[in-house]
Amino acid sequence: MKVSKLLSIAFAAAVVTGACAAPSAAPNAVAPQATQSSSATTSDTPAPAASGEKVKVIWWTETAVEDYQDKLTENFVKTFNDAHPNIELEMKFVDKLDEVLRTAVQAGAGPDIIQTPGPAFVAEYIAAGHIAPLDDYAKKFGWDSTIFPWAVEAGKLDGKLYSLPLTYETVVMWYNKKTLADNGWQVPTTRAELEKIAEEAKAKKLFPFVNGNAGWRGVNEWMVTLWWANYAGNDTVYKALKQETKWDDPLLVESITLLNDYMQKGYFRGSKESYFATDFPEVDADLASGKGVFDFSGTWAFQYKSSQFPDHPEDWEWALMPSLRDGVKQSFPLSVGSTLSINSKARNTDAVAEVLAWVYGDAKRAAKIIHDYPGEWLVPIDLKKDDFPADTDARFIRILEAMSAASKSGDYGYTTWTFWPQKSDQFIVEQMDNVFIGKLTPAEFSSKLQEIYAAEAKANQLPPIPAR
Amino acid sequence: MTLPTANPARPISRKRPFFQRVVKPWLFLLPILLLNVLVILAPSLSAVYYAFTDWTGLGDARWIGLENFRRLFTDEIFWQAFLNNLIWCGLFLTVPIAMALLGANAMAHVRRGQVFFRIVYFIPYVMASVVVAAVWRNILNPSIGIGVQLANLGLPWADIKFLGDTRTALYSVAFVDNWHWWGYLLVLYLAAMQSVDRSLYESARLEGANRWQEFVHVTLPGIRPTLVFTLLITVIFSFLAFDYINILTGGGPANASEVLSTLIYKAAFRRFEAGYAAAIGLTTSLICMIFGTIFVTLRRRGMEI
Repeated sequence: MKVSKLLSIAFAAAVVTGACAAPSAAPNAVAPQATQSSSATTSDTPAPAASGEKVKVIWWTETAVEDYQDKLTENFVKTFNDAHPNIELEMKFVDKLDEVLRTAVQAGAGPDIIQTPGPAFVAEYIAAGHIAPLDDYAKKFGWDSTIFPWAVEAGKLDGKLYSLPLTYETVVMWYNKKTLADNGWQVPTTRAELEKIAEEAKAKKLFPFVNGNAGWRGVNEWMVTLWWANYAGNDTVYKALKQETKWDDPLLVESITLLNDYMQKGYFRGSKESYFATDFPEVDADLASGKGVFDFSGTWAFQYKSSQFPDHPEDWEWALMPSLRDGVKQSFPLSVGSTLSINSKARNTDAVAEVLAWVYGDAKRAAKIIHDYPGEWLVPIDLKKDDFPADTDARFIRILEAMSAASKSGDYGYTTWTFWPQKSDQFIVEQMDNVFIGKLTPAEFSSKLQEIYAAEAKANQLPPIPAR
Repeated sequence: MTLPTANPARPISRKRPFFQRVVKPWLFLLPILLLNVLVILAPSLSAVYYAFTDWTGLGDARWIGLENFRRLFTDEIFWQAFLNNLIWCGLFLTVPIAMALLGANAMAHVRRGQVFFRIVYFIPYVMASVVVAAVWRNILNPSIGIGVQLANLGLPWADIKFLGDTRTALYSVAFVDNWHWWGYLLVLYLAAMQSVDRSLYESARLEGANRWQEFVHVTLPGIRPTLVFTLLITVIFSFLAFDYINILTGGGPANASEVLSTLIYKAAFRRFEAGYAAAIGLTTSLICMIFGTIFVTLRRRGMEI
């Protein structure tokens, strides 16, 4: 056989071998674009060994700006690894975490810790058998008493605990103190006050509400959450969630009608078309420049405030959404913004549970993380002012104290992305646009939502609703 | 003296051993075939299966027969998306192709600086869609974009919220996509035009043909294979359009710019209805396959395309 022939066979064989090896490398095909090195997955996790090797725990979390990543690594990963010589935690920051994680977990190659954007996302993992129950660890580490009960309850299905809340959130009304002062306005607490300011702002060619949903259609559900909570009231929303009333209850329909009225009046950026076409950078810029008055957004926005108001950081402030109907209290709609669970394929669940316990185990550490990475790691435990570093922004501590108080008293509202099942939630996100353009009436919107919600209830897909 | 001829023609197929004739070519083909089976054929077949299930994307899938397709045919948003795909297809079969044909025809007569124009027109095509979309998002911005600037200059009718108005959102995104696409077609047509036999033009001129008649009777027939090929890929790409729509409007507002691909994405990753998403995907593939089959059939029947 000639040399060239041998070479050609060898070449072909080598390529075939490479191609055949692809399945074993398949997990890497869905591996995230991590900003840190290493592509280790669950299957790479070494057994806790008698050999003295460290047990590796892999955690994929949402991506963040580099500075926040460094601080999180310093405050959490490093402190954990220093305190646990037998365990090595590796945290990777992943873009589009939810999509990447679903694919990886389904392929059997996910990380040891499964982080989702909220309890509604956990149900699918549970149904598919990808998540291990946490009840034994909850007892061992006392999570029931450390974490706010409503947030623990949100992680249960059929009485079993499957997920823990990494962060909790609320939606508030942000404003620019200077804008209010320049125009002689006070922070509104009632619908009449809110509408008076909105009309005056319109007359002065200012946007009453700066929000737009081009960057994230989910802005629609922030609004629906706020309008339901502050017009229909939390008790009515709770009854609908528990199916004691329906989503086409008159008060709930009127809430949507009022939201739509505000849209048609041009309170949101002058017109619905502007609302549909405006992204977050313009929203932030307009609030900071005084071109707009109020911004309805969540506590996650804390992380952007320093860059939003670089010259006058003292100007931004938050307040509760005004009451939109007599007799309805202003309140916090609370949510679990991210959840943590143990991958059922994790080789050493005890080590993974140690990592979870580290999240809730020390108030000062949690407060330091919140101080360094404001907005995204608001662990729902009872944090006191003294837990925070001395230079923590007082506005931030104030909102956390208020959320903490609402959590303990049970006087809180419900965000759609935590307490609604997935399809109902997506319906709200996608179909509110149709209400705004007049294709759906508020009553039709509410009736259709009721149909979807009832179907999900029938399929046992409702997230747990903590008792009021 | 005669020099020995290098490699005198040998009878190729009959005398070559079986290994050389049959096995060796397949050995070279095998790697890419295996790769195709792994990353294209297997996922495609699994998607066909999942189209008949209620799979969420996680866990096991339950066979539900034609239920996804029944739902699909009664789903208003699916029909809205399908209609938008047809509009998109119609736009891309006309506007960029007409622009590219006219542009290429004009440039074919440019003797100096043609390379410069080719590069200028081609650059948008090689730019990342995220970058192009970000630039145009600013240009079409309702607060600082071209609409409001023109209105400030005394043209109030120009204050259009391009991406926020349900009447203009789809066309605005199509405009942006076209901006990056037509330069690519132009370069293809220009290359095709330059291969048209010059004597045909000379003959046409001798017969008294003007520029337009030259274009219609010489240029277009001369570039017909390229033209038909671009028509085919335009149709197929129109049903696969995703990136610009997803970045600029996400299919909104109110599904005004929804197309089948954005619908598939939302069904699979927002609503966790991977089975339903597979059904939409399969339907989209069938539509593309119909156009492909027409193209192949016409070729087989002897049409010069």
